[in-house]
Amino acid sequence: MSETLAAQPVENAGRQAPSPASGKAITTLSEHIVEVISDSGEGAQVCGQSLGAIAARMGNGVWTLEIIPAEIEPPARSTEGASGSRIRLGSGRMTNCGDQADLVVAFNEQVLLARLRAGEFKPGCIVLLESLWRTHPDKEIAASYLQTHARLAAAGFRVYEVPMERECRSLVADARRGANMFALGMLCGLYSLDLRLAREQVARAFGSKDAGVVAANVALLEAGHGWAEAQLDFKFRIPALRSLEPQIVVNGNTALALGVLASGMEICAMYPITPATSASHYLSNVFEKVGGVVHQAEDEIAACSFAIGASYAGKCAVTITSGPGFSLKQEAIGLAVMGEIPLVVVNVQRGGPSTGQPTKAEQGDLLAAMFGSHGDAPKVVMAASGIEDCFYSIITARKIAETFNMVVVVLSDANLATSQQPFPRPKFSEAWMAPPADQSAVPEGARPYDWNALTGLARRFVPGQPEGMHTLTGLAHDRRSRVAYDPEINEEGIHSRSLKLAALQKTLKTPPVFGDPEGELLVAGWGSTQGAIEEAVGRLRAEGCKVSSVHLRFLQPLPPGIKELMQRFKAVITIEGNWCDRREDEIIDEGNRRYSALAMLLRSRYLVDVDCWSEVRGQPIKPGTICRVIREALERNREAARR
Amino acid sequence: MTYVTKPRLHHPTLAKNRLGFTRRDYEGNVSTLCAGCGHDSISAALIQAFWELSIEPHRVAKLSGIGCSSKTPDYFLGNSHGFNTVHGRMPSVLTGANLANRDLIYLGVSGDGDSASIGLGQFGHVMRRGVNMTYILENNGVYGLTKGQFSATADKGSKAKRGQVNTEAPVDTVSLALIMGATFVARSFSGDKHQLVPLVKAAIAHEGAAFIDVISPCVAFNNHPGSTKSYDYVREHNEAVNRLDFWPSREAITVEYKDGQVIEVAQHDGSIIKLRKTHPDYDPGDRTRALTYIQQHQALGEVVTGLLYLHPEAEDLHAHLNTCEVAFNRLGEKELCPGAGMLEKINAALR
Repeated sequence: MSETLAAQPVENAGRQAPSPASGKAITTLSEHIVEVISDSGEGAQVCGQSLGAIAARMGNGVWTLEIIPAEIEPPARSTEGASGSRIRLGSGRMTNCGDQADLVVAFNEQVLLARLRAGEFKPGCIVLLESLWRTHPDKEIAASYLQTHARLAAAGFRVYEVPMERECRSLVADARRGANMFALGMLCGLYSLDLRLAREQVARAFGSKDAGVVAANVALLEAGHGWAEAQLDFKFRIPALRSLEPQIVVNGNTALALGVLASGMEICAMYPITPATSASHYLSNVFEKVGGVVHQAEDEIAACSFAIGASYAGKCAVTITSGPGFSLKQEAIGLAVMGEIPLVVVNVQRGGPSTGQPTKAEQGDLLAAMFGSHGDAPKVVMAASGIEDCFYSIITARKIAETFNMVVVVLSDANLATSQQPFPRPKFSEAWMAPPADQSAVPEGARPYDWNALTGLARRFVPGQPEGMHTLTGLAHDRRSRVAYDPEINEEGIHSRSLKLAALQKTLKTPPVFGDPEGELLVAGWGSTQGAIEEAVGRLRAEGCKVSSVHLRFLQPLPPGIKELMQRFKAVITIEGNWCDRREDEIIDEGNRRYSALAMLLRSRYLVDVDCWSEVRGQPIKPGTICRVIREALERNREAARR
Repeated sequence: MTYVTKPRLHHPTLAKNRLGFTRRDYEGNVSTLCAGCGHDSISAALIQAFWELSIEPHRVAKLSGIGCSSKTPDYFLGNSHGFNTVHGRMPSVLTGANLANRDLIYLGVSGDGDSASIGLGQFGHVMRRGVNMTYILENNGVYGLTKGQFSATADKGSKAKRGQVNTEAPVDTVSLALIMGATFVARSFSGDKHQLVPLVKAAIAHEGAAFIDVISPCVAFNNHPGSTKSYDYVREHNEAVNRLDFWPSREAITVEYKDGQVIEVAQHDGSIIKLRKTHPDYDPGDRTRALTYIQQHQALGEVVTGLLYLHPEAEDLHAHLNTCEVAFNRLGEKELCPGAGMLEKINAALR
């Protein structure tokens, strides 16, 4: 787990793991949800991510979710400090973190309690619990452990005590800091994962450290594997159904960064903010090797203005932020809209308003993205619907930004940012890249804002371009970019900038419907919820429910055909991670109910009575929850029809 | 609206620079500022400097913020590129533009509200990053467009037109620029063309962050008795530490000065700055002493002008970042695509 391991001679490195206990039955599963939880800093996240990577390399479907405490160093053995990973392993593709865990490895009983209270474990869930605390000299700790152990057993959980630290002690000096690799070995054994791949993964995870560190961690891995083979009476196998085409396993932020790289944007401006920062960090590492600049600005405003400056000078740039930073950028975004400077702004949404919940997922910024910045400031708003889509959205965003000379906001969220999933290795296409800005002399008579009457589009002039001289301005301006407050000129500018959205809308396709094109209920969603919504709809359709779903990647402009699509269903409901008023509240009625963002948009644009359901619990919305919501909606609609 | 384009016709005998351009080719539209505004004198000095240096107008980008000063790019270098950004954010837009295209000559034009209040943070950071630019702060101590409020550079005790007394300490942008790491720092007075033009020329030649604070009286709101930014006050309290002559690298130096009064400083690009020192104890090569000197004289109510600090070996943002020689915005796919081998490596690292 850390460099301290290297100092210790490793006697057991290379030891062969014992062969599987004979006669142990192997249960074949189609999927399982595993959680590894520890105090912050004990490495449960590395363990979980490694498990996901190994399973992915075996061809399994994987979704990993980070369990993150808000503090960097929360107190040890505290429920609020629970840190770790959830890993959903399956035969097929996994698109979300699932409902409740089937198996959990916990490094102490307090972090276990945190997840138990949150309702994250299935009834009868297998619990592998570090037994160190049973004999702890502090009587209170020992008592707490015993009490929890008894309570879990009484509640029907299958609790196995694992002396992780004791087993690690013979291998490394700081046994507590080695337990995560021991746990990884155990899990590899339990899920019949290839130990050779696991060794490779460990070598990769610690590859930047010296060979001693790798060897020590491999020894821990093998010890865990051996222990599980010898001591546990169960074993699983999740056959991989996917063809073994080359995959990459990344989280949404890395996918965003790769998208920036693939789109040919070599300038990224940022200011550190959770949960967006890791995208810029990754980009910075890659730029180190392939060229490009990540500019860490003095603040969010400067980051956006810097990106605008670079785009103005002919090199389309991206700025990556999260909610509070997005609010700060609004004035600069307005400048880019007014000046018609291409710009990609990524908002990795977190809980809001204000500082809100920095590490938690929420979909609260859609309306701010669409309507932020004062005055009429039309901009394109897209939302990545999954981890893979984080990659492709950025490429599309850059293309739109430069084609339409517009600001394109790409929304992601904390769920996508930190979750990992394998997806097919992108095959690079030259069409993704942008040629350098045209810097040939501007033809005589051409003006910097020669707005096309049909589309509102105008050719952009780049500073330095001979004969392209003009002063770009955030003030109202005429076609020659001269400041003008005349009524006609102001209207012409606003008119033209607005037309561009319509022109873009004409190029969009109606999104596909998941399920039948007609039925009782259509579920509409946007952003990170696609996987969970489609899983829920799939489950209910298997039960015979006439429900389908549609997921929107473009929110502004909305693609064509949405109204017709909605009208083929008896009812429409959106499922979103932002607030909508609860009908059951006494004071709430149709006159004052605040609808969720997408529901509000669909209602106002299409005059369709769209209902909504939402949750702002800071966690990804689970497919089981969505199933319940859909059932309730179906029931409510049938009830209303009967009346 | 307020747009008066000058006729292009001019007298055939007007002097031409090395490129064959007349001074008129460096002018802009007719100023809409108040008659007698110090800012117009600064615009005139900028026109003179660019003309004398024979800089092709299309190689210049003027960036500004918001305020009377930030309107002025419209009134000079009408054949150059411009970007009138938002209030206080010109430094970061300029930094981004400079990163994307290092080939242009960047001129930042700002005022005291823009740089010392709303944009104080950005002002500091653009200096510490060493962005290669000439940053002109047209400093009148007052908000003109919003009709006469004190700005953050107004001196404590200074009186507004309506008689209010400023109770807050001023931001000294020159000291701030020095502390933040600017490598060329000067102060001048809009009414002193002989000092200002050579300073602007030297700043343009400087390959790093060059800052000139130009005290520029506001005739509408800050040119009355009791103001410390009025023409009369500045003329009476101006203490020039040196007089400057600037030679671009190509031209032979023909003027001679008496020994002991003159120091020569060669800049990176080979240009020469000659300082005729009027204060014999002033050393523009010492950042710390410059700060002390400025503050000592400030305490005496004196406005020290001239070249206050120069780092002849200045490095700019591109040197810090080790960027390539070719401007970013000219790189094509051939240079930018990392290549199949590198992409394979990146992909392999993500299995």
